[in-house]
Amino acid sequence: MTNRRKFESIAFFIPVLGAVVIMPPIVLMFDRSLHVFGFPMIIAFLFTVWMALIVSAWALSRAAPEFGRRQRADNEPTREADE
Amino acid sequence: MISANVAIATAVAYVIVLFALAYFSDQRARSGRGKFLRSPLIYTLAISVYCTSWTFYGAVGSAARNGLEYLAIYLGPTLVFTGWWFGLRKLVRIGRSQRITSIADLLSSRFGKSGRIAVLVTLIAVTATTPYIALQLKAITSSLQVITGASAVNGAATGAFDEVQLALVIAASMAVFTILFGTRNVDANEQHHGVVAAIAFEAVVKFLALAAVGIFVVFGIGGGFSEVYSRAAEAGVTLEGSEMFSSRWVAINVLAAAAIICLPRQFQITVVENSDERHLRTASWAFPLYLFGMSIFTMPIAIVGLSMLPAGANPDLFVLTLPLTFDQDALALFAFIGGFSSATSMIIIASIALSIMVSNHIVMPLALRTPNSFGLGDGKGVTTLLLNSRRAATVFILALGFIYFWATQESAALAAIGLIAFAGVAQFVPALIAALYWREANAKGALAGLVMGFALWGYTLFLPSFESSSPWVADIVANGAWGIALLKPQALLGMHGLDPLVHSVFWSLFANTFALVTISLATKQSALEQLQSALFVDAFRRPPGGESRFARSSAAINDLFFVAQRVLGYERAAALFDEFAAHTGVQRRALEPTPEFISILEKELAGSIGAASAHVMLSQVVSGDNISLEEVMQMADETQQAIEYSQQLEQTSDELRSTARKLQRANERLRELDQQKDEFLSQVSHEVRTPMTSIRSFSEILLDHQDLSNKERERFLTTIHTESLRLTSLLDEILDLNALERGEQKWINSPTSANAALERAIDVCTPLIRKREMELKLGPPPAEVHVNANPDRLCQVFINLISNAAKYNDADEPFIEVKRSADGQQFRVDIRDNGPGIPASEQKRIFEKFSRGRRGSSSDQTGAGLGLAISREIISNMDGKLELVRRRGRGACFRVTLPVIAEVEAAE
Amino acid sequence: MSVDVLIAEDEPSILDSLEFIFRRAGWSISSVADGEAAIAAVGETAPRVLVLDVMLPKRSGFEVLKHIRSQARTAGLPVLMLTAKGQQQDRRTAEALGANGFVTKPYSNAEVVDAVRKLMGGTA
Repeated sequence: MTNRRKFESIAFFIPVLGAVVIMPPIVLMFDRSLHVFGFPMIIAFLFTVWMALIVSAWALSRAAPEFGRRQRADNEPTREADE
Repeated sequence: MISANVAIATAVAYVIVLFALAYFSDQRARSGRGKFLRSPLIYTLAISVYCTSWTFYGAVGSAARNGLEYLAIYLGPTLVFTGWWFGLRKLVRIGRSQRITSIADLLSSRFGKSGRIAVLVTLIAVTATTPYIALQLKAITSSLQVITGASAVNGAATGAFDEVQLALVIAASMAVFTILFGTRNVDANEQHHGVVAAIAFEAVVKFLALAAVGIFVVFGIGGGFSEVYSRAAEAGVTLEGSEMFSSRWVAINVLAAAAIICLPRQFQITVVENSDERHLRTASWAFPLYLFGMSIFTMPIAIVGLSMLPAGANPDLFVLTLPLTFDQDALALFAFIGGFSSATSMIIIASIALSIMVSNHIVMPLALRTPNSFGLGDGKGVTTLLLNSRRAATVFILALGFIYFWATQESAALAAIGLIAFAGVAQFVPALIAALYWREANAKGALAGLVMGFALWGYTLFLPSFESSSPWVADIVANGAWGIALLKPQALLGMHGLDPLVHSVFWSLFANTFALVTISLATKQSALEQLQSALFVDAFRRPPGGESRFARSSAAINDLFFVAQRVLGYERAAALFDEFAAHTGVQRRALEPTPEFISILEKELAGSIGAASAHVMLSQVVSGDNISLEEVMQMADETQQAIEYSQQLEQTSDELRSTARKLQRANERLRELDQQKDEFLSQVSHEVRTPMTSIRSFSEILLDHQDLSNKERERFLTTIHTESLRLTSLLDEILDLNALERGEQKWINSPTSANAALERAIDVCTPLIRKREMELKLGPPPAEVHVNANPDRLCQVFINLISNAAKYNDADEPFIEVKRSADGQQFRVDIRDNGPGIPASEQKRIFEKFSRGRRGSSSDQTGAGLGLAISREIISNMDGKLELVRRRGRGACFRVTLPVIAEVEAAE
Repeated sequence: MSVDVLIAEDEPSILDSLEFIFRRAGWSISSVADGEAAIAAVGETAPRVLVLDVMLPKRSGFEVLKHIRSQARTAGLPVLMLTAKGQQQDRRTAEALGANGFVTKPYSNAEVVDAVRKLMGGTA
């Protein structure tokens, strides 16, 4: 249970953090005339955050507790016939 | 350049491939071999129907004009998918457990199966989506013009073919596709495996096409990413410091996040077509990854296009014109097919989603209201009606899209339609969030919110989009309706200085939410709404499928079957009834119309005709017995109460458990104390009885035997005297210790010279030490320090320790060693002897009451074993410590440590 | 060298009084002050009666009694136990271990002498 709560806290925190980071004022900190590996800093920043979100979502999807399976099998007797 | 025939033939061939793919996928799915079709990968790819031609072509245009703004369109959905555990998962669970067929069905079902909400949502969806379909048609025709050279790079039409005719043909073929694969049947909950397979295929095509163009542009002609980006400023693209990240950036992120759920096509794919909740696991990261891939090349293409193509070239078509300019015809054709696929996929899914909404929420309710409107003869009336109405709706919607395209083809009205559509469907968000998380939200509130939001969106955003094509609209935008300045669509109530999009999003969503909340709070939920709200809000808590909405029913099973076969057709109805009969272990004819069965049946019907219609239909049959709403309400309340009660019970039992644990601990402690008290009493008894025995015995001897010698008489009397003294001191000690333990300090601590107290104790003990012929080894006096103590009590402790050391010492050359030391922190005395010492087994208990650690052979031991216990209490009352120091060699060593008080205090 | 009464008692003053009254009763006596000495003395002095205090250093009176009862040679030795605790529990323990008499301190001299005399009669 504790693990599930912890997972849910993280699962909630990550998108919220992502939203805060790509919104002003934080995004403005990276809105400068600098280049990172040939990319304008702002582009590097937004795509890095984006990739970080994707990786986090991947990690979350691995860590997510089991769901959905039992519901299908036990409670939808008519459904299985359709599929 | 490519000839129109080649381009059109390729497009036709592509469409044929789509048809074939959809057909074979459907076949496989039907024969049960389509496992691959229900994989998370296909699901994810299908979700990318989000990327329409607006992404394929338009994003580059947007990047060329507005810099990085296009990224917001993809970051918003990324956030929604990252947070899938809380939003999408619940939505999908509800969609599956309640057999939801569309977003209109979802909102209607949640708010008491309200037909009005269904109609309103359908209306908003059609209004917002039709221009979007027109935009796709426009994209296809424009791209075809460009690729065939019918238009110059600058986009002026030269009429190599009729643009309108082309759009019509496309719309018609899409209608055929949709009707063929989207309305083949009224499936359990509107899943179309063939269509989904085709859409997934299109997702791959458009991605590959865009990636191919991107790679060509960046690495083929651009010289790599950094080279391209270094040309940004020269090309006129401002990437940084552009004040781009303003309220508009936030608004677009919010709109895109809303759109990924609320756009009818997205809801269709993500929720309705979902065949397994667990697919969300994959989609949660794979879909954002797809968007990421679709976005990397957008900005570089825009920069290269702006810097290499002639000024005035339409940036919306750079994806095509760049390869054409560099004579990459094949690549251009591929790009054209990519754009074509992104447009067609949107058209197909949007028209399926909308046709389901229109037929379920507008046509069906009308049909149900008109008696005898559906045939009763062959039992297939409703199925036929449903399929036909859905086909008609598809044609209607595509026709609407085409007409919109035709009417606006000369204007710029289409360009901004993407965000306008987003803002339109975003009006579903307040009601949707309330539906999932806010139990008290009701139908009246949702309806009011939707009306307000829709009206304000229409007035502040949709209407102004016709500004350039209609002088009447231009006048309203400039001067306000009826010339009232406060009613200016883009500066409502004088709110000016805002980007029109932000202005509209703010007003519409604000009014929408405000109306939803206030009206929900001001009005009451109907019984059905309460029930439905519990089903939605507690989607994860309650065991799904266990609820029943019809309290009790005597409806004949035949009547139900009759209704079911009208909607589902004879075969599916019979299969459903047989299955349930088998489930309950009876024949179909003997089936009882239990609430459970009726609720399953209703859900099954809802999967075909929507929740509202299914409810109305079954109500007509079951209402013979009056489904009392009161009963439904009661059941809902009881369910709710049961849930709350069990939560309370759980909490209470938690509290009880912890109380029980505390009680148990207290009880153990009490028992311990009780045992200690018993032991103490037993010890006291022993210590009192021992001297009493001698006293009594010798008294009797003295009384009984008159013939004693004087010497004997004297000895016996002395013993009696000594023993009675021992008794007295024992009683004193017990009282003393008791007072100390209860914290009744009978003395006041004051700055005291610790060394003086020690010297006094040594003086008192000197006679005893001499008598026993012991040596006293006294260490050098320490610095004069003061401790907070009572001198007499402190002296008592030292006397106790020294006399113990003297009394129990049976060494041949007995000695007592007293070492003392002091620093600014503490005063310390070690009192050591070379007696028998204290056995390890006794060391722990040495300070306990009556624990006489050692018994010397001496008869001097008059103490009752309370001395050390008392001493320890005294010292701890002075904030000091009395302890037995472990050391090697013979004897015991007791240490007294007392904190030194500062000289200033001492002087006072 | 056999004695009439062996006294195992660690309180010197009580021992003093017991010795006096037993001598006056005409018995030969021997005495020890702890449990181990008691066990040794039982073997050496072969007393007719053992007067045994419960609270003895080194080994308690109960342990001594148990040991005596476990040895064939001394199993039948009459034992009178003295206790200063005065609890029923001690009396039951003593009986269970096979004590022949039990006297609670403080006792009257006559009570102890009578008890010892009774035990001597049993073996005489």
